[in-house]
Formats: sequence, C-alpha cells, structure tokens
Amino acid sequence: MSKSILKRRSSSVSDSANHNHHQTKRRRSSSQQRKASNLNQHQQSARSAPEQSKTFYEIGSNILKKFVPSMFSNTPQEIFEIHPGGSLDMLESYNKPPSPSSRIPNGHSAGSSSAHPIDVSELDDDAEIPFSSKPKNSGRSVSPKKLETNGIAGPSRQMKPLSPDLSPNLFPETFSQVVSQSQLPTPPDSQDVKKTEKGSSSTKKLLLPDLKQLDQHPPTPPDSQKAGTIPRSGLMKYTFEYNADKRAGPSSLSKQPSRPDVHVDVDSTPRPKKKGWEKRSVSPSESVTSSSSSVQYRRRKKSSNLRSPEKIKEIENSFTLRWVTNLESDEKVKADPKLSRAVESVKNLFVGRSISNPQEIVQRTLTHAGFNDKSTYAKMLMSHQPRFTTIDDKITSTKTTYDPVKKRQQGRDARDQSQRLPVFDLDRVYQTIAEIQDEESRKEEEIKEKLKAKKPKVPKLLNPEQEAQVTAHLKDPAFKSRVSTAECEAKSIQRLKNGTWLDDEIMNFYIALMDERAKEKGNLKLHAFNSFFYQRLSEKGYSAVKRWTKKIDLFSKDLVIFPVNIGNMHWTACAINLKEKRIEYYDSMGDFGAHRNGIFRRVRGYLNDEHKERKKTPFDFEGWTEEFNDNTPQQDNGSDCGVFSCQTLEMITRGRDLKNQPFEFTSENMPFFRRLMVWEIANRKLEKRTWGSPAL
Amino acid sequence: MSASDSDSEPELLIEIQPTDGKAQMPFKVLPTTKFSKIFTAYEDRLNVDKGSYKYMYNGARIHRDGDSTPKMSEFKIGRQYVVEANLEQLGG
Repeated sequence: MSKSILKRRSSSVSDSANHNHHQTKRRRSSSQQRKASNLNQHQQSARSAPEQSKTFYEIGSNILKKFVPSMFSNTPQEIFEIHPGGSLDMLESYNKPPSPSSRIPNGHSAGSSSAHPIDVSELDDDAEIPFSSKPKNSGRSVSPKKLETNGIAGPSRQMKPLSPDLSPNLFPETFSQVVSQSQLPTPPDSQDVKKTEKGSSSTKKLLLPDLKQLDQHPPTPPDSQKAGTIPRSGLMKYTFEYNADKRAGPSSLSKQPSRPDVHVDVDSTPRPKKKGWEKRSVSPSESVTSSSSSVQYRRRKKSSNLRSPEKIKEIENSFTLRWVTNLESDEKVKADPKLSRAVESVKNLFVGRSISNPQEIVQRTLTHAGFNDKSTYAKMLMSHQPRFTTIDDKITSTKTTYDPVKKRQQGRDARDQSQRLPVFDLDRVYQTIAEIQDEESRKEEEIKEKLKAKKPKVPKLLNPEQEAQVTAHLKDPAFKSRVSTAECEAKSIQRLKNGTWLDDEIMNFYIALMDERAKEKGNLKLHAFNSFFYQRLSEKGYSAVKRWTKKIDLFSKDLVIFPVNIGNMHWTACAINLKEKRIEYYDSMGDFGAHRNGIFRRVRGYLNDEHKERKKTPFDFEGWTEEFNDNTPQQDNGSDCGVFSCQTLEMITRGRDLKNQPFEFTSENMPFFRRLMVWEIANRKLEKRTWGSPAL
Repeated sequence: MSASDSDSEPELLIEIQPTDGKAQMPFKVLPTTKFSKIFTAYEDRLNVDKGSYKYMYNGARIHRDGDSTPKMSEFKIGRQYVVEANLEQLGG
C-alpha cells in the first residue's frame, strides 16, 4: 500500500465527512427531504472528493510534512498504518499499550479497511435484512472458525486495493472510485478478486484475536447466532465469519453490514433481493456466492435512512484519531519533544468537533510548538485584525485617559503658583500672624460681650409656693380658668407639661392675660388678636376678620400682636408695631415652612384693607419695614414653640424692643416658663418679670 | 319676616359657621337660651365630639360653660349672628 493512496483515501473520507456536516445543516432546514438528500449528497460527496483538495487531513499532513519531512519520508507505512480492527478497535488498542498483534503489516491492516468510516456509512445505507441475515457476508463478521484458523477477517472490496499483492488496476485512484465500484454490482465470479483475496488471506498471517470489536454497526441478524457467531453484547461485538475458500472476493465485498436497530420488514416487503439471498443461502457453507445486482443495490441505497450525522461524526473522529495517533506513536516524533507536542496538539485539534479553518489552526499550532515558518508567522500576523474603538467603548470606558494637554496645564499652574508665593517672606508671615491674632482677640471680646448680654437671668424654679400650686393644678382634672375672652380647662393645661404641644386655648389665654396687663398697667395701647385671626385671614381673606375690629380703632393702637399657627403644627408670633412702623415676625424654628413672606404680605394686605374699611383711604406704608428677627432663640426640641411665641410676645408687650435688645431667655428656660405659665393661667395674671429689663 | 317673628316671639337667629367646611346651621333661639345648649345641639347634628369646636363671635370667645346666653353677649332680638366654630389648633 502506498502512502499516496492512503492519503487520498483519508482525504476523501474527511471530505465526505465534511459534506455530511453540511448535510446536517440542510437537514435541519428541510427535514422532509432528509432521506433523499442524505443519499444523494452522500454519493455526491463521495464522487466529488478528488475535486476538493483541501481537507484537514491533507492540510495537516502537508504541513506536518513541511515541518517534519523526515517523518513522512522514512516511515510512511507506519504513519498511515490502518488499524485492522477499524477505528473503534484502533482507539481501544491505542488506549492499551501496543501489542505485537496490533502491529500489523500494511496489507493485513488493509484487510480491515471494511471498517473504514465511509465504507461503513456507505454500507449502512444498504443495510437490509436479507444481507444482515447472513452474517458471513458482512465484511466485519468473523466467525469463531476464522479466529481459530487465524484467517483473515472477511475482506471487503475496500480491502482489496490496499493489499500489496493487488495489481494497480484494482486500486481505485480515489475514494470516489472506490465508492463507485462498491456501488456497482460486483461480478460474483470475478476470478481476479478471488485470487487476490485468497492470496492475501493465505499469504498474510494475521492474528486477529481482538477483531470482534468493530465499528458501531453491529450486524446481529438472527442467523448469525445460528452460525455460531458471538451474539452482540454491550460493546457491539462483531463476529467475523470467514470461509477462506468460499467467501473470498467480491461476494463479500458486496455485503453490507446490517444493523439490528434497523427495522425493515422482510416479511411484509418481499423483494427480489430476498430471492438472491435465498439463492445464496442455499450454499451449505453460508458463504456468499452471489452479489446483489445493481438494481438491488440502488434500491437498498434509496431505502436507507441509517446515516446519521452523529455517527458520521464519530467515524470521522475515529479516523482522525487513528491518523494522528499513528503519527504520535512514531519513534522519531517521540524522540523530538517539540514534534510530539505539535503532533499532540494537532491531534487534539482534529479530535475536536469542528474546525473552521484547519489550515490556519494547524499552522498556528505548529508555530506555537516552536516551529518557525515565515509564511505561518506572516499569516498569523495577517489574521490579527486591529480593533477599532466604538461609541460604546467611549461611553462605557472606565479607564482614566491620559490627557497630555491637561497634564501640561496642571504642571504649568503648579509652577506658576510656586513662583508666585515666595516661601520665606518673614515679614509677610508676621504680618499675617498679627492680623489673625487681632481678629481673634476681637472675636473673643465680642463673644464675651454677647455672653454677658445674653446671659439668661431667668430663674430655674418658681418659689416653693408657686411650685406646689402648679403641681396641684397639673394634677387637677377639674381645672378651669377663665378670663373675658378665653378659657382654659384641664385638658389644655395638661399641655403645659414638658414635651407636649400647646393648643390654642393656652395661647389665647396667655394673650388675653397680656392684653389685660397692658390695660392694667397702661404702658402701651395694645390690641391682641387670638390665634384664629391669622387663620381666618389667610383662609378667607379680609372679609372673615372685617368685623373683628368693629368696636376698636386698630390704628390708634401702639402694638397689635397675634400668634400664628402654621399648618396646625407650629406656633410663631407676629407683632405689628404701629409706633415703630414695623411688622415683626418671630419664629423659634428658623423660618418654618418659609412663611415669612406670606405673613408679611397678608399683614400688609390686612392693614391696607382695614385702613380702607375704617378710614376710607389706603394705608400709607411709608417707612414701614418687615422685620424677621434672626436673633430669636431657637428651640432645642419639637414641642416648645408655643412657649417661645408666648414669651416673645410677652417681652414685646412689656415694652422691650427686640430689634435692638436681645432676648431674655433661651431654650434652657423653657421648663421654667411652662410651669410659670401654669401658674399665671391659674391665677389669671402675669407674674412680674423681675429678671426683665422693663420689669412689669 | 324677621320683623314679624320678632313681634310674635323674642327670637334671634344664630348661624353657626364652621371653619372646616362642614354644614352651616341656623338656630332660632331665645335670648335666654344657654349657648351650651345650642352648641351641643349643633355638635349632635354634626355627630362630632362635644367640645371639638371653639365658638367665636367677631373674634371673641363665646364660653359654652356656665350660664352664658346670647343676652349676655349683647345679642339682640330679631337679628342674625354668625358664630364661627373653630377647630382646635396645635403646634410644637
């Protein structure tokens, strides 16, 4: 057997396998035409194999040859040695350490070429009961007799070309030719073939103890068991039944391995083939005496649906593995670690599922393994495509980009700054220090003054009598106090306990107390609206409060005060100082709800409307200012705002000018003021403010 | 009409106007009718708790306790008076 032939065969095999790969894709698209396309395309692929020059095997072998010419030149036979037991057997045998029996000369290994993947696939198409029922006819089945006699396994037609004794005419140049030959009806009585078979079988001493295991197609017809063949077991055991004399040659070639899982109704579909098989079966030795006719062959092909892409894939893989493993087992390859590595990687590649560009991959692999090839390197370089940045990259880039312009500008700025500031300018440093010291001392003095002025003189506690009264009032459930315009009950006086909100009763009561005190003392003409004044004014406008001042002349007063309830959650205080022409607004919580401007606007509107209503002329706002007092002491909790408002208004009604004078209390005094207010409400008069500047 | 009524009976009309948008109700009362009676009747009509409103006339609190009557508030017979009913105000 020559190397070239094997090579061609391998190429054709791979090509057909590739073709089958394409077929699978097409099958997905059209499953209805599966059978027909399968058959046709397979034939087509087998025939077009020589035209398709580049397959992986050719490419791989070429490249390997290029790199390692010695390997190919010296031991071509070993390299392309075909395992006699077929690809599966070969795989198994390679898993084990190589046995002497597995090392077979070429001719004998060629005898097992019936296990050739393509052969199998070809033959699978034609698996039919008539033939499968004759296990002897199948090329793979070896009878126990055969094994005993150490004869050759049933030689198929594909084996023939591989035997060295054959004349070159009998070798098909390409695999397609092999296929075409196999497709042709083989003359049953071709003497040459018989001779060759006999010669091969007789001359070669082939020990095939492990030939039982073959490819995945187990021909286990019922008759095979009768004939003494080993029944099919889990791993698809094959028995080759071989009659050296009678079963030689073309008859066995035409036999197709059958598969048990193919259900072809023999009984229901009587065919001419059956006739032929019967004829053949007449022979006592069960040898194949006649081959199928061409018509029968074609029919078998058409009716076949056995070729599945997965199987072909496996066959292809097994063949590639065999090929590369042969390479691997070569001693020269073993000697060179680089070479063995390369071969191993190539093997891994070929065993892998799909190779899109085998040439490139092989070249790359070889280059990685340490082979320097200019063209390979160049191709690698060519295959590197520059990556262009997209918009997404720009948007989602997380890397900080180096901007030379920016960096340069930063450097310049730093340099300028360092040049601008002389470090050792002691005069300037002393001067700055002196300025800072002066400023600090000034601030300290100011703070001291403020502390002195703001220092609350408010006592911490009432006198003991008052304290006792207050405690009694707070515990009295029937507490009731009443002045002319306000009343306060126990429910409201409870709200003067620490931490509770104040309600309108207390506010209005306290304002009434201020009003009474002002009347009593006569220090200023005061009018006090209750807490509903501003609510009505803001809700309904001037008309709602128009009648509130029916009996008084508002513009004759010095001061008008009223508490403001904001959103039923906050108390503030507002005072209209008619004497000083000020609208004063006090809020113990910053400017809660930003009501400042609204209050000033509404108060101005009220004054204007009131003046129009009473004096029939618009109010003259000349010289009027709006004072939001930023010095108002701020509450330190969420419940004291009512007390703050009451005490602020009380200070104003005492005559204290809060615009120019500081407040007399802070948030620390609130517990005291709460108790004081209880006492004042219960006694219906305001306590004398001994701590205040206008002490009333 | 009020004049004819005033001739027959010494009555006056007190119209209670709540500030929270509830029903406004007139009450025809005698000057000696206690305010507490009027306010309780109004609160019963509205089905609200007793004491939930604070009644004011022209900004002056009308006390509902004791014996306060329209006559004490100088309400005159045959006239209509609008009494505002204010809800409680709270603040902290």
